[in-house]
Amino acid sequence: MNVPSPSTTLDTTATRRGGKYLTFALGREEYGLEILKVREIIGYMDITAVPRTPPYVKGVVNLRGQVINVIDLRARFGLEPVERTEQTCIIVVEITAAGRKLSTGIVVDRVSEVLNVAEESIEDAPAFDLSVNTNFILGMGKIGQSVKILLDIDKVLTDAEVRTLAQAA
Amino acid sequence: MPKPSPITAAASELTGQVVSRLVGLGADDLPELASVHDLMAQLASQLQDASAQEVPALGQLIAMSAQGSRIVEEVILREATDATAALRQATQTIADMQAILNDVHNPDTTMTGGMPASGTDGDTGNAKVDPQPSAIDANVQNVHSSSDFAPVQTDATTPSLPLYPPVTPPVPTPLKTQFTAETLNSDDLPLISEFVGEANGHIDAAEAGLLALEENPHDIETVNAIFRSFHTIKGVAGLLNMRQIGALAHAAENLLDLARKEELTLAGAVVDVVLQSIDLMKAMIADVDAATRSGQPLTVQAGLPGLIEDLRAAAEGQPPEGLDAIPTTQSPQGTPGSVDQDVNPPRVDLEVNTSALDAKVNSAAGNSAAPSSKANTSAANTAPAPGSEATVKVTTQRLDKLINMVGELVIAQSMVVQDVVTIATGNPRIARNASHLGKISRELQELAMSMRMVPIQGVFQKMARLVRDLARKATKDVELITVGGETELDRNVVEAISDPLVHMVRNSVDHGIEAGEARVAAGKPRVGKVELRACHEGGNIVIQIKDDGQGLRKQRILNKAIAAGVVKPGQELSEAEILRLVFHPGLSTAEKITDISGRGVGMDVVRKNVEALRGQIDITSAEGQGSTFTIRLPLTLAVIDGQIVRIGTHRYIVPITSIEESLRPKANQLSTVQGRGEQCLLRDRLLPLVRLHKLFKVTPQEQDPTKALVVVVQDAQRRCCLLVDELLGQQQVVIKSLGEGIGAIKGVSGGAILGDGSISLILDVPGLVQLAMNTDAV
Repeated sequence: MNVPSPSTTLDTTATRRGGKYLTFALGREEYGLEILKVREIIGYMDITAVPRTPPYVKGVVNLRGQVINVIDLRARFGLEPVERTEQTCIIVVEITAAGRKLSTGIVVDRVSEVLNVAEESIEDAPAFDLSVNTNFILGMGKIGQSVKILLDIDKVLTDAEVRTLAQAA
Repeated sequence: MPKPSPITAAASELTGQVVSRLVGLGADDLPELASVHDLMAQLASQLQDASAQEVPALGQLIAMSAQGSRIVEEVILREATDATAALRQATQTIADMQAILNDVHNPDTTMTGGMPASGTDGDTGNAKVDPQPSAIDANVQNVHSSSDFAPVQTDATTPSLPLYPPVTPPVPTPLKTQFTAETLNSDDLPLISEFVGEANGHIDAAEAGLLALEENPHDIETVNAIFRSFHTIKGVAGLLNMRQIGALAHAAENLLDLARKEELTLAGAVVDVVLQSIDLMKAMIADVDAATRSGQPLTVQAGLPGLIEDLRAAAEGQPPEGLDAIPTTQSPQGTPGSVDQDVNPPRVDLEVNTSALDAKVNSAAGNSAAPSSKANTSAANTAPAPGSEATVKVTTQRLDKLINMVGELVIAQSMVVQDVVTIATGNPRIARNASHLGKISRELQELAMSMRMVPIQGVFQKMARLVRDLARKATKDVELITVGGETELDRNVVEAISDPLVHMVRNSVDHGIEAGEARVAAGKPRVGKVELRACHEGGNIVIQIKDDGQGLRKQRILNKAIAAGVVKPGQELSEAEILRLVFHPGLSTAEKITDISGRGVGMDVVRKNVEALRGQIDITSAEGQGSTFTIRLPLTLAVIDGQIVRIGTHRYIVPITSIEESLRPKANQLSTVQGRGEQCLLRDRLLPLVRLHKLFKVTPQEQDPTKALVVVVQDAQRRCCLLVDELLGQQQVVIKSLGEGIGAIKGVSGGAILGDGSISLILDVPGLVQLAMNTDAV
């Protein structure tokens, strides 16, 4: 495989991971999202709950006339729910599901910054025990002393395996 | 020289028919094979009747006819090892017979013409091995265009023909033109996709025109329009190098050109061939469309050469289907006579081909008299496209976006106006301007919505074609009456309603309308009537399919339902309830009931489709007098009238069409079953009470129904009471899907953005009723 220059690669393939990431926090864990997937960041707004959906589906919001669904990433990852704060916000990402582009909001505790993560500072996710699904992790980005979990957001939001895992959690 | 006899002439014509029908005939097309076999039997009996003086080589002919007949028999009985080869052999045998007959029949060919053998003979033999695609063009062209035909054929056919104009049409050459797989030029792709859209439009218009022509065969304007459609397709196909489409369009165009010149009436078998061409054309265009995406070469259409042959035969006045050719409107004048007589312009023969052949005669004689110039008016002088309102094509995606934006604008406008008016109370100028703005926004929204509306006429046209084909197949006389084709409804609805309609129309023709004799016996007019009606009715579109057939047999439906366990014996059902049983999946899909009930093939599918469009379907039927199916659909999928209800802090929208009434129940109206199943007695009807908050797991303000409200909702068959805290108001809402991220949720059909910008869920009443019945959450 070619080793691409980090600044130009924003491909989602596992081998081309270097590039710009939007980082956000869920509790004490720091996550990263490929910047090209991010459409916008909006403040927390009233979310209309939709009945008979999995617990991690918060509901739907009106994004300038477009109805988009909102996922609670904490619930998705089986983390403890927390009180909403001033910093809680919704990141609107554009994912590709079944060949179609689709906007989805994800609720996160806090948005941090946009980081340039070099290819060589990204490592594959270590193997955990079975309760941790690493399928949707692109890699672990080492930035100085901290580690950012780089997410394959398409998989996070569409992977049936993640879904069942989250439901079981 | 034996005098040419009518028998040889008739036999020659019969062989021609047999050959033309055998060409391209599939071994498994049994009905067609059987009719060919009949023709051959007819031919054999004619030959048997003939005397040896009249027909030289009679013995040989009889033997050949018997051989051909035997081969076809073998194919029908599936005894032939290689059916295709056998059919080819049969074709060859009959073609040879025709050659002999023509030789007998036109013994003077060699004397007057330049070619020793008859042209028909030559054609039969040569064309089979001649794979040139252009051969078809050349041949068909000859029929009407004297300027560019090959002299060979003129010499061969014309001099003898005038003697027997009606009976010796040129043999339909069993041209097996080989089309090779064509690959589209990638540079042309934008042009091609444009062509696909245009061609489809042309084809649809042509189809509609043809069906209209069946009513009024002499409407020359319509003929012209159909001709132009094919002509345009031909032109563009030629430009884009799509040879198959070009060849078909060309052949069809030639046939239509004759009709345009009133040398041929578009009716009966001729229309059939043109309709077949339209079908094949559609298939080929779809293929092109698919190819533009897949990059695959175009499929070689196996049926194409045969069809082109049929078209050619039809243009020459030979009925391709063995039905009688339709004579031209002009009555025959004068008896067939000498060549001189034929040159006279007024003489027009019964047969279409003769007038075209007149042209050949003229040209062969170096004579540029009137008829030839008439025949010369071929494709060259095609009129420009019919006048129509200027239109711009817009993709639906853009349109949807526009509608979304406008909806958003309306919401934003209402929010701004609200704020402004509160801030600037007492300022009449601002109030006036705000209301003006509101008016403009609403008008803009209406306009945007109307852009999605298309008339239902297109679907009705499809039905007209369907009824025609079905009636033919079932040999019934059925007349389709359409009313209200101009009724407009949402494009998406039109698309979605097409399939259920096809189903129901098919039921009406196949099962509803009786055979002619049965109808006469029942004292009804022989011709059955199917009526398609569309109209607006109180914010809904109503589509009705009405037939005057035998109607539904209620007792049998009921018996069947009891037998299937759908209805308990002794259960009292109203007439309407019995009729609705045909929608029951357990009944309608069962083969058996179809036969007895005379209705109901897949009616449950129809109902599902209609309900998916938030519509309803009703039946009325009187045994012996016919049935009426009424479909009620919302005007558009995009907007509904909604009643906003509140449960706790949540707001939901109930489609007004499904609300029967709302009330606050009294304690004595409520009862429970086994302490759980709650029901509400409402004017002698017991309706289940559905606690919506339990289904949706939300906290209501009021648990006690006597302090809250119930909304009585109904889907097609069932009613139930939804418990809500409060009714908030009614408004038109734009339905938005909740997005693929969430998918379909039972009980919720979508979301709507309310005036304050928040989203409220729209309740899916049929889903809720089902939920309530299945779960114990009541």
